[in-house]
Amino acid sequence: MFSPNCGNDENSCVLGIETSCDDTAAAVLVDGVLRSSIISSQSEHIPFGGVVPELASRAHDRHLVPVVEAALHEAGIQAGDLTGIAVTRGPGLIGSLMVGVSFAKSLAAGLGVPLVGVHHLDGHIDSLLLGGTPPERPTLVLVVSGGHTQLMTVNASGERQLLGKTRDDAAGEAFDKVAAILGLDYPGGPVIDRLAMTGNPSFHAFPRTRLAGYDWSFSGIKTSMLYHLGSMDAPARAAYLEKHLQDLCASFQEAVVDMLITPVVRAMKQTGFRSVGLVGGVSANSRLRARLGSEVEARGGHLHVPELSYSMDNAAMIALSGCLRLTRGEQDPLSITAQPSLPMDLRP
Amino acid sequence: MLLSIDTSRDVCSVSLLDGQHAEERTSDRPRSHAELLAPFVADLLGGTDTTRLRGVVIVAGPGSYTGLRIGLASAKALCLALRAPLLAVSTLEVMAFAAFEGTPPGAFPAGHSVVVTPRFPARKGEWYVGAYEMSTSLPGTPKGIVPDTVVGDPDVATWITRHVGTRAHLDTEHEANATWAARLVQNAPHAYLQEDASSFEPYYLKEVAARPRAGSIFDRLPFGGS
Repeated sequence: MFSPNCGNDENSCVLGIETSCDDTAAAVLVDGVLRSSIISSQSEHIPFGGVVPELASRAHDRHLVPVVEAALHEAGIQAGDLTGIAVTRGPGLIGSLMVGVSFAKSLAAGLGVPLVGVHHLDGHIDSLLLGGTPPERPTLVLVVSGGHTQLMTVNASGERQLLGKTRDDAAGEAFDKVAAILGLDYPGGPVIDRLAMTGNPSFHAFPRTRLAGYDWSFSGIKTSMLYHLGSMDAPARAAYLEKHLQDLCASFQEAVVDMLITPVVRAMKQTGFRSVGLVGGVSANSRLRARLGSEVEARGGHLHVPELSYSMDNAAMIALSGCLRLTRGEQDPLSITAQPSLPMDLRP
Repeated sequence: MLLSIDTSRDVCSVSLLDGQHAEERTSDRPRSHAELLAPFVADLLGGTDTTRLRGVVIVAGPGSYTGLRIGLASAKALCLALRAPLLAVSTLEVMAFAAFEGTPPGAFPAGHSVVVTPRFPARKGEWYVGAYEMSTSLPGTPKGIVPDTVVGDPDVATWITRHVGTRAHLDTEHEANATWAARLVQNAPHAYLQEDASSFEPYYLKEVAARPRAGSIFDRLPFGGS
C-alpha cells in the first residue's frame, strides 16, 4: 500500500470522493496509507447503451452516503476522525460532479476540516503512486478511458504538462460506439477485448488517423466501421458478423492501439523520458498493455500500469491527490464549484 | 435547534432555528446554490454548540432537480458530520404553511378549515401542485389532502377546484424558505423523520425521460439495408 514520503508527520485522515461519471467512489487514507477504497459502479445505464446524465446524478445521490460509510467502516474510523476532505471537482458530468462536490463541501463545513478540490486527471496521474513501485520521474503518462484520452508529462517535482489530447471521441468512447454498431453490450471495451483474442487483427485495414504533434482523433474509425457494415443489406450483414465478428473486433482494436501508441513513442523520442505510465479504464485492455509494454521496453523504458481498481475511476487516487495537496498546506474555499470542463493547466 | 436547507427553487437559503429565534442566510442570485450553500452553513455553524442540534431539515422537492440534489447531498453530509437525523419536508407543504401563517388574523372564519393550494411552474407547461388542509383554530401542521403531483397547465384550475370543493381556499405561488421549513418541522419533527437517511431521494415527482436503445443502428441510417 501507498506510504508517501512527503513529510506529513502529523496524524492525517483524508476522505476522497469521486463522482465524475457513473462510478460512485469513496476512499480513506490514514497517515498517508490507503485503508479503504469502495467503488459502486452504476448498472442503471446498461439498457441505454451509454451514461444517461440525469440517471447518473440520481444514482450518485442515492449511493454516495452508503459508499462513504462503507469506506469509513472498512478504514476503522468515524466521520469525526477525518482531518481533510478531497473531492473530484472536474472534468466530468456536471450533475454527477455536483453531488460529490456539494456533499464534500458540507461535510467539511460540518466537521470543520479543510477541503480540497482535485482535478480528475491529477488523480489518475497520482494513481501511479498507489501500490507497487512508483515510476521514476520524469514520467510520460497516457490517460485513456471512456471520457479522456490525454498524454501528459510529469516532471521531477510532480508538475504536469499536457502534451496531447483527443480532438473528438475518447478512445474508450470509440470502443463503446463500435460495440453498439456491432450489436454488443455496453460497456464495449471488455467485450471487444475478449472477442478480439480469437480474431485476426489484419482481417480488415481500418484507417489510422494520425495527427501532427501528440493529438488524436477517434471519430473516423467508428464511421469507418459503420460504412463497412452499412454497405451490406441486413441478411448479408448478419451472416458476415456471424462469421467475422472476432476478426472485426481484433482489427478495430489493433487500429485503436496503433493510434494510441504512436504519440507515446514519438514523445519518448522527443523528450528522452523512459518512464511511462498507463492509467484510466482502457488500461485494462490486454492488447494495449502488451503492445505499449513492448514498444516502451524496446526503447529501454518501463511501463507502469496500476492495478485496475486504481486505474478505473476510483476515490483512492482522489484521496491521495488531495492528501498531497493538503500536505503542501493547500486547501480550497467552501465556495468552489464543480467544473465540467476543467482544463489541465488550471489547477483546482 | 434545527439546521434547515432550501435549494428547491430560485432562492438558496439556510437557517438555524433555535426555539423561536431564526438566523438565516439567503441569496436570490440565480444558479448560486452550489457556490453559496456550504459557506452559509459554515457561517451559521461557527460558534454554535452543534450538540444541541436536533436534526437537519431539507426541503426535499418537488423543484429543480439540480437544486434538490445540491441541498440533499449537503444535508446528508451534515447528518453524517453532526450525527443528526434527516428531516425531509415537501416544498409544497412548506409553501402552504408559509402562505397560511402569513395571512392576517381573521382572513378566514374561525373554526373552519382552509384548503391551501401551493403551486409553481414545472418544465414543459406543467405545474407542481398540492392541496393541504389548514385549521383556523388549531395551529400546526398542514394536512395533505392528496399527494403532491404534476398537472398540465390547461388542467390545473380544474384540479384545484376538485380538491377545494366548497371549502375556503387560499391559492399560492409564493416561494417559501429554509426558516419556514424549520418552523413547520419544529411543530412535529417525528412526522418528517427519515429513518433511512442515507439512501433517501428527493421528491422528484417525475421519472427520467430516457428510452432504452431499440433496434439496430443501421435501421436509423439513410443507407440502412433491411
